[in-house]
Amino acid sequence: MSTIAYGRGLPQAHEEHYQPQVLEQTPQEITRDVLEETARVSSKYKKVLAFFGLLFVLGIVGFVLRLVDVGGFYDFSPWAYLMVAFAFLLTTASSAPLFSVTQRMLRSHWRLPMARASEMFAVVGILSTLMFIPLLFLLPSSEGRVSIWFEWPGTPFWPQLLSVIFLAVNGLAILYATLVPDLAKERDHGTGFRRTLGARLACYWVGTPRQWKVLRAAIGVLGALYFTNLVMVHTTVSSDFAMVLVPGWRDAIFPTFQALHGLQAAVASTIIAMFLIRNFSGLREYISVDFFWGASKILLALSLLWAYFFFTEFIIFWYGRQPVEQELLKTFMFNSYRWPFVAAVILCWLIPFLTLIWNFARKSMVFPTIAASSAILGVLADKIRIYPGAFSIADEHRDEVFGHTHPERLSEAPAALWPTGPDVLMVIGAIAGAILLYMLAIKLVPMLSIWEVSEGTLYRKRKRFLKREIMVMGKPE
Amino acid sequence: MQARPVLGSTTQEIDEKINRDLLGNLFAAPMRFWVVVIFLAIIVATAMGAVGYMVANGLGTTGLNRPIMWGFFITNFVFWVGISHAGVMLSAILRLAQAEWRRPATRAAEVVTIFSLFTAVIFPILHTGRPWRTLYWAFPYDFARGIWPDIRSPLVWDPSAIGTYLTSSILFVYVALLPDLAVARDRSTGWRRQFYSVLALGWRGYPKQWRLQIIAGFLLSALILPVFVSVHSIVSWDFAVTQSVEGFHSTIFAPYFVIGAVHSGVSAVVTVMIILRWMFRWEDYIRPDHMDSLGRLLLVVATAWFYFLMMEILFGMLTLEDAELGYRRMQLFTWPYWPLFIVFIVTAYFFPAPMWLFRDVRRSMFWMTVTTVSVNIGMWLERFLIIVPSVARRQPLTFNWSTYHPSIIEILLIVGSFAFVGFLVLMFSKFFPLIPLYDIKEGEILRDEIKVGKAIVPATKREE
Repeated sequence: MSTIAYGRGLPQAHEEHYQPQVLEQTPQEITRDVLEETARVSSKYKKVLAFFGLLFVLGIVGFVLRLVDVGGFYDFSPWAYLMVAFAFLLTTASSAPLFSVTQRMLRSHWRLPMARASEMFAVVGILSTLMFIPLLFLLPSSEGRVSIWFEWPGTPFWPQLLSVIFLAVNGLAILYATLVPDLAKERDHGTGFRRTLGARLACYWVGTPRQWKVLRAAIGVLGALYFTNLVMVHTTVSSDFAMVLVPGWRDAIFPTFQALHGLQAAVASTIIAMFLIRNFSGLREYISVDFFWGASKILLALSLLWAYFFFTEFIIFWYGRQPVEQELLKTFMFNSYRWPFVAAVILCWLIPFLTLIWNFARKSMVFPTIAASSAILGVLADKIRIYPGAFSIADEHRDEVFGHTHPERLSEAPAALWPTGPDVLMVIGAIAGAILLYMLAIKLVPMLSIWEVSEGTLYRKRKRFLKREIMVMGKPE
Repeated sequence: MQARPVLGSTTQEIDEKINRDLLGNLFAAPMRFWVVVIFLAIIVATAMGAVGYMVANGLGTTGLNRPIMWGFFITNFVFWVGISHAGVMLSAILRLAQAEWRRPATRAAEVVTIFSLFTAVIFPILHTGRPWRTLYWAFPYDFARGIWPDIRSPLVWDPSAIGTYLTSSILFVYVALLPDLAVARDRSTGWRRQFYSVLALGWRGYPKQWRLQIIAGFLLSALILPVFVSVHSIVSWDFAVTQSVEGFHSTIFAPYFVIGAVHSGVSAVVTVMIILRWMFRWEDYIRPDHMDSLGRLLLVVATAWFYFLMMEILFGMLTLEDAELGYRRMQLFTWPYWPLFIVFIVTAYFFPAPMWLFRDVRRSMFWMTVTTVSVNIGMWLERFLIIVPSVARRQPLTFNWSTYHPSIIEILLIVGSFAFVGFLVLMFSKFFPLIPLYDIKEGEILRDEIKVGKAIVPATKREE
């Protein structure tokens, strides 16, 4: 007697199985719905926009106050919280397009509605690049001091500046490339200035097989470049603005840890954006729990990886017990910046872990958003723990850090550098500026990728199987 | 695009063909199987002879000498622990990710995991010189005097981590094997029937049994992941927390070792799968599209590993500490390590990774064999270059120096370890199916097609 049971893993007659969403809308209906929603500007939207605009202006005021107060970019400490704001935007907004890029490479079926929401964060790259330029003035030349640049002439300015500019341009290029078919839709079906914008930017797109082939190749290449470039920017920024400022800080995992934190924040940012778009736009039916379920699994995995990377860094210092390692632990974890550190651990790891470990929570919209919000706040706490600490040490040990190729080791943990009024304004203003740019962008171009969502409807069908209907998902090879 | 082979027109035909093809080796192995088994057995026997000689005459028969007391044995230990990471990567992670192409690779990966872990454990024990004394050192033995192993030592963490991983991997394989054991039981007679009956635990394929088996599979997949990460992390901490060899003291070692282990482990599984395909004529089951997916996975893993390697080198040297610079000078510029470093970096990354960019390479059994073997040559050298130049470097408290020349005993043991793993995998395939029957059958049932315009697109029935 054969014991092969063909029912293994297949649908049973009970109802607890969740059926993935299969959109019934035609491509024409999707186009209409998305374009209408993009063009709709409510009074609530305008009020929120004005609120963030005001906060952004306050941020600029904070920057000017600080500039007037210190008279330039000489000491590190006055600009520590500008660095926190920049690092926060780099880790969250500038990393966010990576989520879409990686999921597109993996051909995840649940990514389709979130592609645009994730890539739209690229517009924040403009703001973060502008914020980065003054910070560059703080860094002395790499000649005659420890750095990753081997004392090459002109470093660290030009590689840092070019890499951040290239990252912003690369992100915008991905956004543009994925927008082209939708801009053509704007051109053909839109109204007002969006129609004109679509006509200008769609570049004669009519969707010939050759155009599609070129577009897909371009998206693939730009995506791979973005991945590489983002990891490199995280590596070089965390090295030049944190590690080399602290004498004796030898920590090979730190830049990788920062890059990983970027991946975690990328997923978290996108989840929050999707939750808000779903609840405050008319596109509710296009954003199902499928996305939150898929994304929350990745967020859970990345939160666990965050804890793992932290622990591997911690255990080597703790076990090593060298004097400099003890001072580093005191500075960044257990003494000076104890509370930001505790907050980072709770927000980046504990809350996402305890929330998303449960399947019912992953299969909801609220819990992944709570976990994502926690992770984003954790990014801020983590940056407060790192950069003000490193900046204040750089000021205290300026001669040792910048005057020697063999600097002394850190011998005493510094006092914590807490934010003052202008610092708070700068951080809030930067975050508000990022939200402002994002909100403007989603009303300028379609906030949902029309062509990808339409394509998704072609590859998802319902079919009768045994006693029930089941989803069949096509995956072109 | 190459069409997927059709295994039959009815479920009955598919069922029969899969049973016939995948259980064939259990009842009548082809001649080439025995030729390879005998060849490997001879090598294993020779290596066992070398072990006997070494135990009888002491560690002086090896090339180990002050200050290099960690040579081929520890290199090989780390290498085989690394290979063991293939099982969870291909089986647990891809199962949780519902990757369809994982199906033919899972069992082979899990089995390679178990046997490579088993082989890895042998080397530190042999390295003690008097293997029977290992028990004294690893476990508390004298309650009266209160002598206990130092639990703060990573050398005690190692047996715990590897023991847990080995146990959970065996459980993982066994749970997934249950339905196939029942099929083998129903098709065998005599002692074999008794054997499979006992192992199948009364499996009849009832819905409740399937349900429990699925839940167990998923739970084990999730639970084994932290163990998987911890094993090579702990092995890396053997090095990283060692203060006396300053070049080892690096915070990145744990994830760097884990990703390197995945790189070498998945490559090893690809090599094994291609050999099995050739040996058992499994062309319908291990197909170019599986290799294509594995090649893509390897490309990503290899590039991530390379990034970690660069970080390790670059940031290790950042503070220009003498110990680190001395180690790198030894590793990169000193004979005989510098040519080995070039071979390592070329074989582990610069040759295979660019090759995997090409679809034709990823779909070619020949090129996938060449590239994955190349990776493991490189990854073995990587472990050697981490261990030997570090301990060979002149340090303040070292009172004499010499270089390291592995003896014929060590070389025989290394070759023997490869033969041993191969031998065990083949012997496993004589008693148990190396491709999971039920998984392949499930894949066939879930397989579908949809029409998109004029094109027929391969599809899968999905239920979350």
